[in-house]
Formats: sequence, structure tokens, C-alpha cells
Amino acid sequence: MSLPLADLTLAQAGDSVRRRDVSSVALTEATLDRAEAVQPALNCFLRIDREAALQAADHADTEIAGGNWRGPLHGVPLAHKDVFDREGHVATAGTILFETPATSRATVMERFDEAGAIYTGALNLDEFAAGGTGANDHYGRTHNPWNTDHISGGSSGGSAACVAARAAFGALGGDAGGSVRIPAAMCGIVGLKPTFGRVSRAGTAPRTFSVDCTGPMTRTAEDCALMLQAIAGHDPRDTTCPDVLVPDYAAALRTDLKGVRIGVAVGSPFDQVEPEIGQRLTDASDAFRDLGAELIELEVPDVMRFNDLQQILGKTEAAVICGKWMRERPGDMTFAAISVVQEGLLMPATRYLEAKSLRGPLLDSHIREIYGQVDVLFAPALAGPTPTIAETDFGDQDRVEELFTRSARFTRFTNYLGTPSLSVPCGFSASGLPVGFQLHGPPFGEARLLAAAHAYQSVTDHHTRAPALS
Amino acid sequence: MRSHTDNVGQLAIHLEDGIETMSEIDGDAISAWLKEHQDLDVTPERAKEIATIAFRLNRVTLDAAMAQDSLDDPARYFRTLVELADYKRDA
Repeated sequence: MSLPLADLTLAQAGDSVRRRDVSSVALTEATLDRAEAVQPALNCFLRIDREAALQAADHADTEIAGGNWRGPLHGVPLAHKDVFDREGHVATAGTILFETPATSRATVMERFDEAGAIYTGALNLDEFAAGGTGANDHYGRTHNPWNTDHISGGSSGGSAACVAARAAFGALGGDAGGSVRIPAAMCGIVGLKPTFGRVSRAGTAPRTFSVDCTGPMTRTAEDCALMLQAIAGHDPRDTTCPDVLVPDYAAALRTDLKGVRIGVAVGSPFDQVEPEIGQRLTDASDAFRDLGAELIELEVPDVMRFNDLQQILGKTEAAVICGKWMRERPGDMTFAAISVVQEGLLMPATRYLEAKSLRGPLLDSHIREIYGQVDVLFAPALAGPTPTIAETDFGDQDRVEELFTRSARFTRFTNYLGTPSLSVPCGFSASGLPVGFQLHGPPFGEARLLAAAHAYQSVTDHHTRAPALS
Repeated sequence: MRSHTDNVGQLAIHLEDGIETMSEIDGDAISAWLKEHQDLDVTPERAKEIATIAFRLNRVTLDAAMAQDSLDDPARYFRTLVELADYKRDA
């Protein structure tokens, strides 16, 4: 094995375990050692389950040796945002309010377990997943592995930092407005917000009811496809999770894009990026053209309105979810968590229902207008270089929210529509921090996003670079 | 001292009109309404801030709703999502 084990991609690691070139125990030990080594600098883990992980890895090795290989995740160590129930553990959601250990397992955890993946621990996040910087006053902030003076992004900041730092081969995050895609872009990894309902949320601590999506965060699109394959599909435990065919995502990956039409989003808000980000985006779109794709500049109507409607749903529902705690234990919640949901208390039921009623017709017109012309929509993931911690640590939560919103205006609209979006790394800013773009698609069109991203990664090497952590 | 009725009335006006400029919002009234109807202690300054954001979002939503001929059962969204599954440009 020429690469250090932790530097393998998820696909390579899984294949090595299948071929028994490396044992799951060795792979898991290497990953746990890496996690423990980077934890003091990054604070990406809330809990590392070394003993249980090694036991599971030993079991995986026994199964594989006995001819019972379960699939590409068998024996591969993963860690996840701390919002998923596992028996005997408290899924903290980044708060100190939850004290009762779970008595059942989230569907996504069950599916990874059935796939033979190894669970190594719970990852840090903004309190109640209600933030975009990776800050958490209860458990400490997550730091960006490319430069620990910079934020990781959030709310799935622990997941993004962990994967970028090679402390797990993949991680799950949660995305209600950009919480997978923005930290993925800031930490230089791939992050998928699937179609609403593509992945079950049963047993997952909610940030909202209508716009939450659980999605994989990995170093490559291929790895993302393998993780999504394991967890996508109907779940009777989640009434919002429909019985829609799950394609073979890995089989749909491609290395050329001949015949593919990619819409390049232009106009407001997509033109509101800083020049160095704009240059990276131009480089990326050029790469897509070189891969054979036809690029078509496209105005995307109503994005800012969709963003606002996402806020109506998100803030109202979050105010309900956090309502008991805000009233009964406000001292145990930070202002950062409370401040972003308080507006929901001033939104009448009529506005909330209007936002929900509009969702179907607006989705229908958006899909027919955009995806009647192109297969995939290319757009920014970040408005500017990833801020330093100092730049977001000025005690004014509304200004922090405003800073986050600079990039969230590129992400929230697909949470409202419920369509899939993939964040893909595309280089680095002058300060050495990663930059990313997004690929958007129609409902349940994850395969075409992953295919385009895989083709892009087949001719670029941004995803192969590792942060210089000790 | 503003009466409770005045507070509620003022908030109702804000909610109806979607006043967007912070200077026009009475933080005391919003704070009192939140205490009365949401059992929540929020300072007038903070109440003014959150009302500024909430009222703008309310206005955007109302305008979007009024631009439709009619609004349907929100649950139909899920059917639309499935019907548009992997929508093809040549479909």
C-alpha cells in the first residue's frame, strides 16, 4: 500500500478491505489514531468510540474472511454529525439540553450498520445546527483544517473538518439552508444536500420539519455516491420519505460530459462573489467545457424570493422545535442559537401556510424553466474567502448571521424547493483556504450531479490535496 | 404607558403591512406582545431587530401568495416533487 491508510479515498479503502489487502481493524486503528491526533487542533469530534469501533472492525474482518462481504462500505470507518440516534448515546445536537440516551437507532445509522460501515464517533456542530460558523459555546468551536485560525463553516463543521483532515473516510451532515454545502466548500470536500425525502430523517434531531436534509460529506464524488447508495430510499418510519426508485449512483458516474448541458447561473445573486472566487468558478466552468459539456448562461428567476420563503419555514419551525427550551431553559441556550429562530415567533400562521402552499407551484415552474433547458445548474458555493475566527467573533450574532447569509443566498433556495445540490471543491483562495462550486439538479437527480462532479474530479486534483496538519 | 390593546393593535398593523424599516417599528410594543402571547422575555431593542427581519419576510411571502390565482393544499408539494423526479430537459 503506497498511500498512508488515512489518505485513501473511501472507495479505495473499501476495495482494499474487500480484497483483504488491509484489515478493517488496521484501517480503523489508523483512522482513530488520525482522529485523536487532529482533535486538539480541530475539535471536530464530540465523542470518539474507539473500543466499539475496533470491535465492529474485527467483526467486519471476520465476516469478509468468511466470504460475507456486504458492499463497498464494509469495514470502512465513518463518523457523523451528532444528531443521529444510536442506542445508549445522547445525540446532543450541539446543545446541553438533551440528557436521555436514545433507545433506538436512526434509520441512516441502521443502514450504515447493515452496509457494514464502522461508526467511530459523533461530530461537532453549531448548537441546534443553528449557525454557519462551526462555533459552539458549549463544546468549543470546530477549526478549519487548512488553517486553524479560520472557521470550519457550519452547522456540519465537525463533519467537514473531520473528513478534510482524513479523520474519517466520510461523514453525514445535515442541511436546512446550506449546513452541509457551506462547510464542505470551506473545508475543501464534497457535500451533498439530497432531494427532500431522498434520505430518511427518522431518528434524527430536527433543525426544521420541512427543509432538513441529511447528506454525505466525502472527499470525492465517487465516495459520496457510495455513501448515498447505502442510505437513500423509502423509509416507513419517515412519512416524508417517498418510494422513489434509487438508481445505481456509482454506475452512473462518468469521465466525460459529451452531450451534457450545464447551465451557468448568472445575474443576482450569483454574480455577487469576490473576484478571486469568481476566477476559481471560471476555471471550473472551463474544465466542464473541456470535458465536453455545453455551457449555457442562465438567469435563475426568484432565487432571493425562494431564500426568503425558506426562512419563513425554517425560522417558524425552529421556533417551535426550540420553543420549550427557549422559554424554560433560556440560560442553557446560547444567544447564537436563540437569535436565529426568534423571528419565527413573529410570523403568522397565514404566512407560514402561504410559504408552504407556494412550494409546489414554485417548484414546478422552476424545474420546467431551468431543467427544461439544461441538465445541471452550476453556481457558486461561497461568496468570498472563508473568514477567520476573529472576523466572525465580534459578539454581534446578527452580523455573524449576515456574514453567513452572503453564502447562504446561494444555498437556501434549494432547501425551499427541495431539490438536490452538491458542493464540490474547485481550488483555493489567496489565503490558502478552499473554494467550491455547487451543482444543482431536479428532484431525485442526484445521479447527474455526482456524475458531473466525478468527471470534474477526474481532470482536476483539488480533492487530492491534504491540509498540512501534523 | 401603552396599553396591552395598543400593543396588540400596533403589532397587528405591523404584521398586516409588513413594515420593513427598523425605525418605524416600536420595540416596546413588540416586546410586550412577545411577553403576552409567546411567554418570552425579549428586550425592546432585540424585539425591534427580530421584527425588522420577520416583517420583511412576512411581506415577501404575502406578496408571493397574492401573485397566485389561488393556493392549494400544502401537502400537494410532495406529489409535485415526485412527479418531477429526475426531470429531463427533453421530456
